[in-house]
Amino acid sequence: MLDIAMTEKLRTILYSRHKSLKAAMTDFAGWEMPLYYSGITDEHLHTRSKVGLFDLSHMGRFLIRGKGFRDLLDWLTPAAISTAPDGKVLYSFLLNENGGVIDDITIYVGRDYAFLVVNASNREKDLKWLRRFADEFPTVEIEDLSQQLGMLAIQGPLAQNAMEHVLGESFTPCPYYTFQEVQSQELPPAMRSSLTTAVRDFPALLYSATGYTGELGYEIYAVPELIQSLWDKFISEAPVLELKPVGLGARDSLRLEAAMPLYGHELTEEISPLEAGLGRFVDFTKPVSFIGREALALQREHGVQQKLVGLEMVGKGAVPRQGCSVMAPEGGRVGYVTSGAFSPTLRKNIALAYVSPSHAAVGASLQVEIRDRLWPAGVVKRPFYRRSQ
Amino acid sequence: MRFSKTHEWARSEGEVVVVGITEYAVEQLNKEIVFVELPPVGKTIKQGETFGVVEAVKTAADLYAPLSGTVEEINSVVSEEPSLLAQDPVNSGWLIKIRPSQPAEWDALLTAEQYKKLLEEEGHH
Repeated sequence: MLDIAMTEKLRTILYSRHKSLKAAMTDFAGWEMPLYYSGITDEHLHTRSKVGLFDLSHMGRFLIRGKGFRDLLDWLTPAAISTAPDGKVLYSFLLNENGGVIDDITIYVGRDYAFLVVNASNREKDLKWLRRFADEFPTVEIEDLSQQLGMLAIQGPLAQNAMEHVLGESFTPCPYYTFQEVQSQELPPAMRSSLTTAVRDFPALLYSATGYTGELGYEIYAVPELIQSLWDKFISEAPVLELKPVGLGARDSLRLEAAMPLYGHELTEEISPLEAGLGRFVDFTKPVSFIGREALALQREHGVQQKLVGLEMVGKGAVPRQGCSVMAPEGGRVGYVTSGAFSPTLRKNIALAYVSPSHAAVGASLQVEIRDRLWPAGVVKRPFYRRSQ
Repeated sequence: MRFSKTHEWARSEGEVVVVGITEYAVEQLNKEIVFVELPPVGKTIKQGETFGVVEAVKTAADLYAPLSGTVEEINSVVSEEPSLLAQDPVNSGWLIKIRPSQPAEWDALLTAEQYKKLLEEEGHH
């Protein structure tokens, strides 16, 4: 339905392109975003078998630079920033003093800057948090580039081919979780001539071998006019590249099959990375302390109160959703579902849930309460889906 | 055939009324229905109250009874293979058959023309 609020929603620089592709739109964190183009299942399976193109321009993007920028991030995150090589991408968190997750973020560590990509829903909160601590690092500058840059993801087995085709010689494949900068003079001439803006101390284009689908692929950052011209080229070459645009519906089902956390579901300010099974991203050995370290060290020593598990529902049946209670076989609530869906790849109902550690072992039998009825489920290994190569 | 404001259809077949959801409802569920929960045969249902659920990949939608009565039969083909509902919602994708207890309720349902108007007013086609 049309209402006034609709006209006040934020729109990305690719909004008119989504409309011309007749995307079904949805509200996400205040943004009017494509939910799907051809259909959630179709886009999901296409990303698994070929390649999908995503508009992620709604996400938050910050540039942190100036003397001591690595020291600031070493204090604010549990990642080993000071020892990370230039060109590395790190998955990490902003944590509060209790070890709860303020946001999960990716950090691009460059020679002269760190580039942070954060959840759209947390952009303002994160910026406030960063600036609060930045006062103690007067030489460090924090700039919100969310408006000055757009963002695309190219995901799937044919992602590299699509990148080579569209970016030409300005693209060279890079190892997983690393990034490459492309200066304007390295761009194909047609793209270079489309450039009308530039971001200080930031390359014309930056791409990384990262993603949120469980497939290999790339994420691309550039000024709006370049993102628009890249989108147009991907779409006009779509039949040759076997590429389809993919909306947020399949983005969510893809990440769920890959058991990747979604902020507001698996991660909140009351949940720690250790509870979420993300302890490998908390570096207790780094030479400097970080916010939340003490709380997490205690959790590590005494054990966590709840653990994230993967649930697979037995047989066909109702779909578990966020908020459903998880019950022991003999009854009694032992946890709650944080995300759930019908998995297009596995053709089964799956869910991520927090349960008490005594019910978290792979193979454990549990039940999920969906609309006053109990449905049998089993704890399975995460991720639900793993790519073959 | 008559319609509810909540996008169910009802078709009179002798002493029973066949109930399903409309093309529009199926489109709102992205035509990707993965689960249908129907009431047991013999259950008494009341007009306007929920009698089941249809689930798509992303969302779940309640089913509202267009008429009061007793559930006479359910479409077990659709509950076994929910994708059939999206393919043919008004014929083979029917959901339940009701033996009405308040036949007068039928007259309060929307005619095809009124339902079409409702969709137009809501801004759909």
